[in-house]
Amino acid sequence: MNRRRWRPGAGIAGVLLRIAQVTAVLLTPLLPGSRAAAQSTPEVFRRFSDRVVKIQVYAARSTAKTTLGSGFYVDGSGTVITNFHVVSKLINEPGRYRAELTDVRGVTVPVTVVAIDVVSDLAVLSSPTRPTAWLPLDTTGIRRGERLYSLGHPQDLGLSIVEGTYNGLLEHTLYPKIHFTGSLNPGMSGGPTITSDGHVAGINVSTEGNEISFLVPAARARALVARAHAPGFRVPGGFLADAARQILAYQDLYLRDMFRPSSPTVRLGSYRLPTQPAPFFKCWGDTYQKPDSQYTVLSHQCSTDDELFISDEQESGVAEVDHRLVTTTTLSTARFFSLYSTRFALADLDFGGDERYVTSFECQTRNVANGATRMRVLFCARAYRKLPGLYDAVVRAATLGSANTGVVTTLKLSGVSFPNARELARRYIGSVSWIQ
Amino acid sequence: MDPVMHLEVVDRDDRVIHRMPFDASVFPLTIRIARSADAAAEEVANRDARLVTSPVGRALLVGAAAFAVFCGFMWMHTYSRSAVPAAIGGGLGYMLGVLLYTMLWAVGGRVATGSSRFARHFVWACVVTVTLILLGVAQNALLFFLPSPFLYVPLAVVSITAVATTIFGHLGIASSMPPVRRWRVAGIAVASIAALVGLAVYSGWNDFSTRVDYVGAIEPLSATVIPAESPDDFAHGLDAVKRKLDRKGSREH
Repeated sequence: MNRRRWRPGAGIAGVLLRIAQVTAVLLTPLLPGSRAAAQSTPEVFRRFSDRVVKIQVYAARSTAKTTLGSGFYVDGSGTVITNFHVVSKLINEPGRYRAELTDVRGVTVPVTVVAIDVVSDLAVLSSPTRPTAWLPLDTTGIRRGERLYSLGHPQDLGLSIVEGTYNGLLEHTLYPKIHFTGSLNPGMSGGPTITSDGHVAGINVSTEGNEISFLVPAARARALVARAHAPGFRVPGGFLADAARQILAYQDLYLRDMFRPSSPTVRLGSYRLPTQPAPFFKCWGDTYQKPDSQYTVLSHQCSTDDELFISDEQESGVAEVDHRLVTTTTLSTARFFSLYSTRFALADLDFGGDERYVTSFECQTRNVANGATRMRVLFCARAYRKLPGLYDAVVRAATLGSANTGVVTTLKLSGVSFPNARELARRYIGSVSWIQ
Repeated sequence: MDPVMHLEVVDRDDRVIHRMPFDASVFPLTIRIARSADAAAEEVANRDARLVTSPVGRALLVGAAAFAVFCGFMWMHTYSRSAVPAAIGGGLGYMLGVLLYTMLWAVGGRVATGSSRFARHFVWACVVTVTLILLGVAQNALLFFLPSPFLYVPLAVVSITAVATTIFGHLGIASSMPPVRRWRVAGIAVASIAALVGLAVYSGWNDFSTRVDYVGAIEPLSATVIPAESPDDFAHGLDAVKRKLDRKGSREH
């Protein structure tokens, strides 16, 4: 029996097959959730760059910009998304600054801030333009390793595109952040990072260099835009009061369970101390002894990585734990306590900041007993002038009673309510113990 | 010598420098030239003993003791294996400061009275410096036991008294003022210094700082003798900090 091999391209079936193939190639980019791998970088730039804008902030009576960033249209009513830190000067010193948007054609218009999300570092702006194209904030199903394209105005060199890779949401962070492997640069903040079919994966927010960059997930921007467009939306008390409310709610959430009796502890010498207060802390340890010195310092530190931008002079939202075990086998008791005093009084507690935004510190020092453990405890705090109800605080304790060893432990908190600072100080001191 | 003999020592211009009896020093001996009819020669004190009780001798002894205190203080605050040479270097630094300070008073005394009395000023300066060091140590110990801001007032009074006493002592060496007048002058000097310091503190009262400043002294005592409060009481006591901060925050900067 003769077998006939079926070959495409022959006859009517072949013609229909060819038509189907061409149609698939043409329609695939339009299908939701599809990623046309054939899109090239120049093609992405050509198709979507007109939706990206430059945001510049000026002193009210000046023509020289003080801040440069990027943004993009998210709907046809002229709504623009950018970072909070791009427009923070308008928020922190209203009336002294103005913001303008410049589109890809070079047309410049003024913009106003409509809503902010300080925790996510986002801002919604309103512009008088009515764009005919925008970038939808509705991306789902991006896979790790997928190619992304970041758009923005790096160093005011003009609208640029940067290729990179989606590496998923970071684990153990205080708020969601996307890890983008691409070279973001200053000036690209607030710009979009999109898929090849123009859906926004995230908003450019920060970089650590070496192609390690971070994006705010598009879902956070979508939520902020929805809030801004909700009927009756207002910002009671102004944006600064709104920022304070957001940070207060945020710190209530992440500080709630820190330093509970069930929290993890670490042993340093004869002392048990709190460590890894929450999964979003990163901890490190080291030991220190100069060749000539007669004492050793064993250190253990944990800190969060997720600072909140408040202004150019102030960041907030960071918590740090620092333990230093000081030990000697050769110093006399008197000399050891002289050394121990200098370690307790170490002038390393400088928080930075500007007197326009924070007060100076007020302190209180006491001797505290936690069971059999006696400590010299310092508590210092300062208030935020423009964000009512928020404080920076530091608790430092030095264990007492041993002639040749002791621990100096420090807890630093920024952007917290005073009741939380007080409660955490109480829990922190209560979790330091001497193992007999 | 023959009682009728008459002995004079004259200079080149025949001016009489000495008449009997007189003492001539030939170290380590002192020779008294006298007539036999004169009262029996007093026993001449041993030169070494005079050296010890002389102003120079006292200055050397007190200076050596002060230097030992300075070196000991520096040694207490050095924690490396090369603590001894570091301590000696620090002690020499302190001593140099004392010498420069003494020189100022000596010059002033020379101008005022024609006599510098450097050795006496030096002794007083050493005593004062050692006293101030010991006062500082005592102050830290007191603040460790009673960490209250109200202690700063009596401690300031003690410091002012120490400065006034220092000036009083130097004036007694450098001048012939009666004690009442010396206290008055010392009081005026201290009041002037206190007024300047007070003005400086007041003008800097609202000065902004990002640093955390506090007294960090910790004393080598058994934990059981140190009075302490519970973590709960400590937390309750922090309301005072909040009240001060809220007052600061409400003030215009």
